[in-house]
Amino acid sequence: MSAILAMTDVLPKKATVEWAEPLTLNVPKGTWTVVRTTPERSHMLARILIGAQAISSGEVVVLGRPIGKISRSERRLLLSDMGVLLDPAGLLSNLSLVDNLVVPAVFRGSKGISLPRRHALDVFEELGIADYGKRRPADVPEDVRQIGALGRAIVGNPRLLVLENPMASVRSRVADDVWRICRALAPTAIITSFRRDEMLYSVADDLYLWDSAGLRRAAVEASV
Amino acid sequence: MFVVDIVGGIGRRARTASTAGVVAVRLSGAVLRAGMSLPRAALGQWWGAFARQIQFTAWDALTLVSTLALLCGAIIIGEANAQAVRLGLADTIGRIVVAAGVREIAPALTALIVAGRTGTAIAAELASARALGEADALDALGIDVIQYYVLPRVLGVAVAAMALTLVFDFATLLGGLLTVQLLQQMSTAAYLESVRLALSVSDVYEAIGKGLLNGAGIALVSCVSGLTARRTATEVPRAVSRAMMWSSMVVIGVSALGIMLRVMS
Repeated sequence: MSAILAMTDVLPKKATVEWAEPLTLNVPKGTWTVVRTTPERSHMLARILIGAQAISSGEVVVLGRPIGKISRSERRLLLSDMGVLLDPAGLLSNLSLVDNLVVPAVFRGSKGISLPRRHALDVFEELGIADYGKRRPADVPEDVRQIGALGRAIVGNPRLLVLENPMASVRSRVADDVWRICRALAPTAIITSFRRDEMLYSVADDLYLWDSAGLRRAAVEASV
Repeated sequence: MFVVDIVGGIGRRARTASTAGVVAVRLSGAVLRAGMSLPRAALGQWWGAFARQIQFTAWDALTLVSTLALLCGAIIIGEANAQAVRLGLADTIGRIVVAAGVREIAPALTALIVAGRTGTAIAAELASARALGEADALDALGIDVIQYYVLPRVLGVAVAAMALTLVFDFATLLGGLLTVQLLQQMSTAAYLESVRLALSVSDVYEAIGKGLLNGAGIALVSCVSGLTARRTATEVPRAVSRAMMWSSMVVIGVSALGIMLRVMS
């Protein structure tokens, strides 16, 4: 299987004690990869994958493009093919949940506003939070906010999903349904997390543990 | 050691100030680029933000600015009239109110009001957006943060500050007229004639230019202050105070530029 995401001997530009050894990691097309590590490494890894954090050595190739070396406009174009959810999720507080999905689509160059709105409503319907669509992020419970943020990441059927600590507050039965929908909409994903989360392990095709001994593959079943 | 510390401190401050200057210049270029590449579908959203900015900056501040300007005109005329009559220079009243009020005080005071109301609000909003991860999330979604946050604010505040400066100018002249009538030391016709002779079209252009420059500059430095804040809640008040300080420098800079251009021409 071809790699949608390939990291080779990557070291962050901001040197840290925790990330001292170069990191190599591949995410093949059609797989969901979970990397469990410390909060600091999880934070940095997610940002390096989207080109928001610079690297001092190695290469990060995302969807066939070296994300750290391309121009800002090329990066924006590449990111519009991806779905990203960082921690904190950063839903725009002055917009309703639905508009949080519509406005980014419009600024990313969608031809009109009606199609993104319909997609947003469809996604919210599937995720079971359609009743909250018109409310602002501050007016909905934390779990609905997190599902809404995940909805924003998957609404454009992204070729690659990058998630950092997703759905920490979502109950496991709901999370199970949400993950199933996410997998249908985004076939390839990488999730970085510092939480020991059984739901995350069960959704993973590949599970990596990254600690002081380095990055190593773990058996998904054993972890669950 | 004490001297070294002082010199080091000055050096650090100079470096910070020059970095901020470079960031502001680069941001100006980025704002222009962002304006030219704005997606068509985003225009509706963008106009909404632009109109809200004008409403908040100009319309909501209209009463405050008009009242201040009336008082300002009254004070200038009240003070100048007393001196002018004593020195036998009553016919220079118009020149004084135009030179002091219209050319200098109106743009500067309007800009300081805009800095205090709008600049601080922009800095607080954007610093909060940084602290809550909203700016990072937009960037991660492939959205130009400058297009989304900075462009409507810079253009909106520039247009609003220009309009407010003209309102301030008009209200200053009106305040002067009311005071002249109240003091009864000069006829209304003589005051109006004196103002007409002193006021030229270039004064209006200058007010428009200063208003636009002040507004754009204040919005730009406030955006820089907000968007470069660190990601903690305690950074919000610091960003606000920084924005106010930089905005004051912008106002002084624009005033100085106006004087320089006038002297050169």
